[in-house]
Amino acid sequence: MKKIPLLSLKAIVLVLLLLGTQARAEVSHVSIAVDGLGCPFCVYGIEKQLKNIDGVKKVDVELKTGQALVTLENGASPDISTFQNAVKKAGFTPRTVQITAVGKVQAKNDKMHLSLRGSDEKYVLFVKDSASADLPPEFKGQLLKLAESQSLVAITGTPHSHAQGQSGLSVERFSPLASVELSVDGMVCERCVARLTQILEKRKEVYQASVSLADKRTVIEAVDATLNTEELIETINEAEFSASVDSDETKQ
Amino acid sequence: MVFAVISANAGPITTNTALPVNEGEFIFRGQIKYIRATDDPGPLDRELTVWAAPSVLVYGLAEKLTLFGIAPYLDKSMEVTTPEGRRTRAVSGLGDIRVFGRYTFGQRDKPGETLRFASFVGLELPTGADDVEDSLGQLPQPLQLGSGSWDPFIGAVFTWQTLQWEFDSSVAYKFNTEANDFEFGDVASLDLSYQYRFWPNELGEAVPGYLYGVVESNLIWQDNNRAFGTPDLNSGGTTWYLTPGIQYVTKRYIFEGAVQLPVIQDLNGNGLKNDFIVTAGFRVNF
Amino acid sequence: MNTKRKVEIFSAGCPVCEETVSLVNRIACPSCELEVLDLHTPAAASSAKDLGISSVPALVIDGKVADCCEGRVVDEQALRSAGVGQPIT
Repeated sequence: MKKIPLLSLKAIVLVLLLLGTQARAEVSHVSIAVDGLGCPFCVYGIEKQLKNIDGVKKVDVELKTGQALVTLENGASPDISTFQNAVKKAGFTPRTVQITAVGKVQAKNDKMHLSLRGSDEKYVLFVKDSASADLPPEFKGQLLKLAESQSLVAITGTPHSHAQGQSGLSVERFSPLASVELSVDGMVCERCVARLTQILEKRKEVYQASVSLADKRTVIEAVDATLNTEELIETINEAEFSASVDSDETKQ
Repeated sequence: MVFAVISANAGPITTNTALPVNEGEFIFRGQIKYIRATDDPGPLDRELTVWAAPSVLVYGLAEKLTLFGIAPYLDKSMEVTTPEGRRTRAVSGLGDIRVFGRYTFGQRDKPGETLRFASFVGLELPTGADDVEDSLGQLPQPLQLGSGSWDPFIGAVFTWQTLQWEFDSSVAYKFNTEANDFEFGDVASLDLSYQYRFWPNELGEAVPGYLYGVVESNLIWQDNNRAFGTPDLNSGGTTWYLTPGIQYVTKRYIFEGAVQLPVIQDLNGNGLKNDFIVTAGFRVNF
Repeated sequence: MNTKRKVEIFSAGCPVCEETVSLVNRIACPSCELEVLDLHTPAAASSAKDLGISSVPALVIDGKVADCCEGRVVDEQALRSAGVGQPIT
């Protein structure tokens, strides 16, 4: 595991305090397996239908695997059936739908839950195809650690709903997130915001970048182990903005 | 003159397909066809050259229902021996427009693969001029731009597509009706198409462009034409084309070309035989 | 004549679903034929869709969706009143 420099530790501390201020995406990605897709010309229809759904930021279809990966805007809460209907309208058959939800792990009543940030929604976590409904011990240990540290985690899996609105999420993979907040100077309009967001999100380790023109800052979320504040600052500077770690020393 | 019903969405070049069109989406197909027919067993020694540019607009009305409209621009020119020597009779302009709807009644989807059954029904409209005259008088009906009649047609299509290849087959029957005391013979056609992706060899990232080698077969039977109710024994017959082609398919557009070569032409009497038909075209979705 | 009551349970395999499955297993009578269908398999997913099932766990008794469990937390009382646990006379 890479040693996180002191600089970004301070940034993380700052962010934990500021976390409540922005509405964030609860579900960041939806991935749909599409059956019946055999040539490039047909892909366009699926992309068009999915892009029309409220809250969809980007659609990427991989023809080889038949997977349509939908990236959602901040704050979007999708209804799975909307995506399935979109694929049907395009003339194809939707199969498994997976979501990537960001939240914190909670242990309750001997079950592990993922509590989505910004909402009351909770998912009961489990691993499908396992011999029993109990979580495999190593996996449970990792989740308990995350619950203890209250770190943000992104979990990708197949959701299903229970009665009374409760939901379950079978876990395919998960990765803890770390946040870094940087002040950014030099943005003059929304186009700068869009450009900077695109440049930051192009980086492999960046999960999501929220850029605010009014607050002159950006909050970047990334997979914990690969987060490197200096490289992020350099990327922003290369884009002809000027970035620095927020120098406000807030009290704990 | 017979044109097999052509489709526009991704798929074969001279055959119809059952592949889906997204609800609310349009596909436009432009084609250039060059038809050359000079094998005349009779005394007129006819040499026919036709340039056709059909424009096709496709609209996905609902998940299983697709609408098609074909508007052909035609340039026909025929050299013929007359008592005064060789003369050329020519005409150009809009031909008969075809509209039809296709309904998918069977569908089986698997990862990277689909099987579809669809049927279609349509009408050919008398929008092409059917009474053009030149110095030698009125052009014979087959040389006119349009038939002047309302001709319905029906058919069925089967498609089997995988990421590596595609197979389409289509049967169609056109009921030609009477106009100007002339009735073209009904047309029955059976088309088969096989497309094989030979580049890229391995599928890689996202949505690549595919290059297909295509081989198609068009079998067309036409009944005798009738003038004033009397059959013209020098019309109609059976033709079988073998059609090699090539097609490049991307997410937004398709480029393609094919040559229809008559392998068997069993035409009645002095029917004028085709030498070949060359087709080139593109399709775009929006 | 088929004297067994066919009880199909649609489950997603998660802890909440499994509680219902074990409950049904516990109170089911000898004349109940139990089958657990995993919603993650394509066959079960399309059967669930055809039956109009939107949340799990869902109980289908002799081909009909039992309304003891659709949209309600399943408890023993509800199961018994749906007929699970009662022998066919």
